[in-house]
Amino acid sequence: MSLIKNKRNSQEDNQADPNGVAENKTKELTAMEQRQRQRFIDKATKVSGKYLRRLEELPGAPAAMQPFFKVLRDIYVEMKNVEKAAETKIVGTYCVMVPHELIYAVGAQPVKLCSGSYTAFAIGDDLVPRDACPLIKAVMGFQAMEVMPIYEDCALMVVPITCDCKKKMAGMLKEMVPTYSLHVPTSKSDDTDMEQYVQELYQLIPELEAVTGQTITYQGLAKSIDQMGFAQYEMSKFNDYKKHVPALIKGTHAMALMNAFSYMPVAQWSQQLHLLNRELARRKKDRQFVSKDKQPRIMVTGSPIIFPNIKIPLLIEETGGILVGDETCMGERSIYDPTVVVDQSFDGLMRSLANRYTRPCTCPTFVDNDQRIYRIKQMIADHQVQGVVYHVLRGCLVYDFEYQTLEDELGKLGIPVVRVESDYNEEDIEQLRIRIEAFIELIKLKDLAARPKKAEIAD
Amino acid sequence: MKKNDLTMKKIFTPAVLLVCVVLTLLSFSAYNLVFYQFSTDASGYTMTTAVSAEAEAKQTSTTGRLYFSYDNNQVTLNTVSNQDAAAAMIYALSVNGVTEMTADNMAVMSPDYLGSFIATLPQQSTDLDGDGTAEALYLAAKTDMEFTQGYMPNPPTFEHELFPLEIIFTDRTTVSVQFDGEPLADQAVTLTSQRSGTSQVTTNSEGVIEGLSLLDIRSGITVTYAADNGDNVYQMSYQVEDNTLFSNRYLAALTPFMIIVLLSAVGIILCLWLRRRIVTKDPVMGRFANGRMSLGPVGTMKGQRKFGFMTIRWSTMIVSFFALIYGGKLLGQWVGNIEIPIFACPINQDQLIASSCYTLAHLNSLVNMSWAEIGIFLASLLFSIVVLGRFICGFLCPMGLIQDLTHETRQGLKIEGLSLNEKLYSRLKPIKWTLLLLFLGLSFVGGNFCDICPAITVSPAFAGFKVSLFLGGFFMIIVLIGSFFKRRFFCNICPLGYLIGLGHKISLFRIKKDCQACTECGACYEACPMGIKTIYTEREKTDVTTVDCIMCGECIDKCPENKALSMSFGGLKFYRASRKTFMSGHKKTEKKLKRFIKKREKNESDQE
Repeated sequence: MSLIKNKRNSQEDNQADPNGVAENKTKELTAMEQRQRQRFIDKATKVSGKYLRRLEELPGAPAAMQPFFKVLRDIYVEMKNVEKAAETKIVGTYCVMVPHELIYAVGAQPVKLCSGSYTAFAIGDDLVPRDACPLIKAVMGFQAMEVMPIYEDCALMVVPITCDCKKKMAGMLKEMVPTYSLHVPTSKSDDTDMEQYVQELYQLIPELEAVTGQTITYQGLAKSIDQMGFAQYEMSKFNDYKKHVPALIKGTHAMALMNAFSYMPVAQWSQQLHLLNRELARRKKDRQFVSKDKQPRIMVTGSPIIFPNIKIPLLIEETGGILVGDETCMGERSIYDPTVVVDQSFDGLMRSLANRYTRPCTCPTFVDNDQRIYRIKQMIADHQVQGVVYHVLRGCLVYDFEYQTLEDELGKLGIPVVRVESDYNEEDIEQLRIRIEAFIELIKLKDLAARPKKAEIAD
Repeated sequence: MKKNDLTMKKIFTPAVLLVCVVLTLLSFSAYNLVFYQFSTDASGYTMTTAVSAEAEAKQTSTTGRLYFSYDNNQVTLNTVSNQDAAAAMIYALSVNGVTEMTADNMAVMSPDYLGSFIATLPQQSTDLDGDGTAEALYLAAKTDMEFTQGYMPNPPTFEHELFPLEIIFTDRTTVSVQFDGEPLADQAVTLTSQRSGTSQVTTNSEGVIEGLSLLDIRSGITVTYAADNGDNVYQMSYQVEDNTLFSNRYLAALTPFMIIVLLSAVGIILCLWLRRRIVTKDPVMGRFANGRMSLGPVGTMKGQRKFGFMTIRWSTMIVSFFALIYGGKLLGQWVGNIEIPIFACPINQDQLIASSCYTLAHLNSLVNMSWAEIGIFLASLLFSIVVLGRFICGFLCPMGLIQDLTHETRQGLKIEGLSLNEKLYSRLKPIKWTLLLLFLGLSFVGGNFCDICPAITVSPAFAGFKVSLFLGGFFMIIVLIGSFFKRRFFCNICPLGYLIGLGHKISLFRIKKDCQACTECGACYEACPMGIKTIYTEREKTDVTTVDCIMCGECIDKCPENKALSMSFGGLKFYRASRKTFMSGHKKTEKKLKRFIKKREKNESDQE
């Protein structure tokens, strides 16, 4: 807790003397703390670098993936900030319920701060209760170390109050940095829930405006909705390529792409995605596939998979499976649903945003979340999925709750599911490898057993 | 939240019941609540006699020697000679029976006159068929003013003592001929129509001449009947006053509608001002008071599709607006005895197809109908429920177009609307049923639903018919204000639509859903003007058609999931949701990006 206290003190000092920000920070650090930080940076960049290398070495990466890898490298290895104009303010967001459109509309740059860093996790382990989820630990770790530019330069953090961990995290962050807790309705079946969220978004606007000093206008909001819409347009094209059998792109690369979305201005991201789509179209034409016909088609769902914690998708693809889809909040879910504007007034735009960020959201923190099962079923049908890997981060209770229902439902469809629990460290990697390998073998055997039957029927 | 619900219940349940009771009470005295009254008598008109030299030249034919014509408020009896003009006797049908018109009441017509006139000439002798012997020729002309042409149980008839032959025009569909007070059954007569020339026709057993359209009757017909082996020839010309589009008369007919539009605009501005006052005081929303009702030049959303199914819907609505309002004038009336609900207001006489709306609102008139007519009415009602259903509401109803236009005005001005939620929608049910009961039952207790109906202000007025407005006029103001803020406000409580909707189970137009593809994003619900929530919450049934669905297709238009929603007709899915078309507005941005990338690549290769 001492780390947090230090930080709070420094923050208070900063407020008292806004001109001497940098000096204050350096002044307070003892030699030991400085060494600790340097060790932290070394370790964090090393781990991130390793996973990035594995990502790049995974065969079949399209050339157009390079800019996305570069962004991940810049953020996690080079410890740079998001590529942006110098005066642009950064607004940190968590989860998928914070409308990026609003942040762009006031001229700021949103950055998704949910973290997957093992090194930061180790630091955060001492700051939050043992049973808290590793994502929170990693975020708190980064926050305490004060070394990541994307965390340090945040003018405001918007934390949606979703699960218990996020709720307490918002409270802890408030002690250190300007934080706004965005209340997300706990249920979404009632119209009043969505209407409540519209009010919440209206209340968020003045907070965002205070960050940049730019007033939100109709034009600005309409433009940013269009901008996000274009990203969604490119994304839906990308999704169509992802549905192709045999696969045109590896799922791990697709997840890296979605991770890069967190740290890129949306216009730039959609432009790069456009180039990627172009390359995938070429691959499709040349019949240049990254998977073979018989390779088991796997889908990942459950707790967020955030770079550099991409061991599960990597394991799936390294042990002979092909990851064809993901239903996680760092993956498709964050951008899949488009904002549907039905009313052209300013309130209409706000309503459509509130609608888009609550109703289709399959986050298990909602009381009623049957639609997630339907969504997964649809993805299974779309991507011809043969097996589902259900990822649960240790301490991520909400996802664990939904496992049972999903297993029952998919059992009816005859789709095998495996629940893998993991933490933000590399200790469980061998155990995970064995389980995933076995799962993939199982699917292969199942497929083999089914094949002669199909042949018989054909005869 | 719970407390909120309770207060909602406390406020809304009595409010809805109050609305129902007030509606019922008002409907009984609807006729006394005058919004705008046109005179339904001949006062204001003048009658003159004219001699047309032109016609004199064509003396060979007897038709055209005596006929009425209209010019704004002037009725002219046209003759071919001064002699005829002096000899012509003009009679008018008045509340006191048949009155002979003198020079005095020709110049200023008495309000007693009911709008039907007849003119006769004394007996003449001419050799008509050229056989050498002169026949006795009796000439007469009859005319009915426009306002006599409502649905009336007894059409205007004169005594046969005045002139034995009489043309009687009933219900704007039937032309029958009477002779000496009896129907002229199974007789050959000569029919001359100004539009289609002369022909020999035979009347049927009820004296009806078939095959005449409203347009013929408006331009004037002449019936010649040679009685007593051709010795006595009776000839009568007949014309119904035609409403002329875009004349002063037409503008006069539009007056009440204009007043309604003006009052609605005032009402809307008042509402906006009031809301602004309330909103400004709100600690959170006060800041957005300006932004929320901006009228200034503001940007538009480009990302979503611009053309597609909705373009088809809009053009269908506009075409049907003109067809249903002016169709009779442009194309002549079609199949006179098919009755289709809502197909034009029956008070508008220029409608293309007869409508059963009137019969439904006046079910007591079924007693006077023949079994065949009742059969046609029921069969056509059933037919339209099965084949069209509430497709009528979404695509054909002129009232729907008016409401959509007011809604689009708001969209264009970017003014915040009123978004109802499920609780309010569910509370509309009592109002719907009250209106439906009034619609079907008011005629039995002496009322008339047409006096309440807001749609009556649109169709007849646009066609140029002076129709007096009662409670319906006031109602229309509320409807226009309502539909400005809430899309398709009236459709939510329209009794005719609801009646058709009740048969949605057997209707061929259907909205289908693929429950697995649905992500429950709620875009369809947000877009639905009727507030049908089941469309996005439904998770089992593939059919999501409900009583309220007006088949406008907005849900499918706004659905971003491939094939999640679709519209089908008799099992054939003809319109499916698709993400590609939903996002097609972004294609322009994509093209721009492609150009940009090409340019950049070219620059790069140049540098190398």
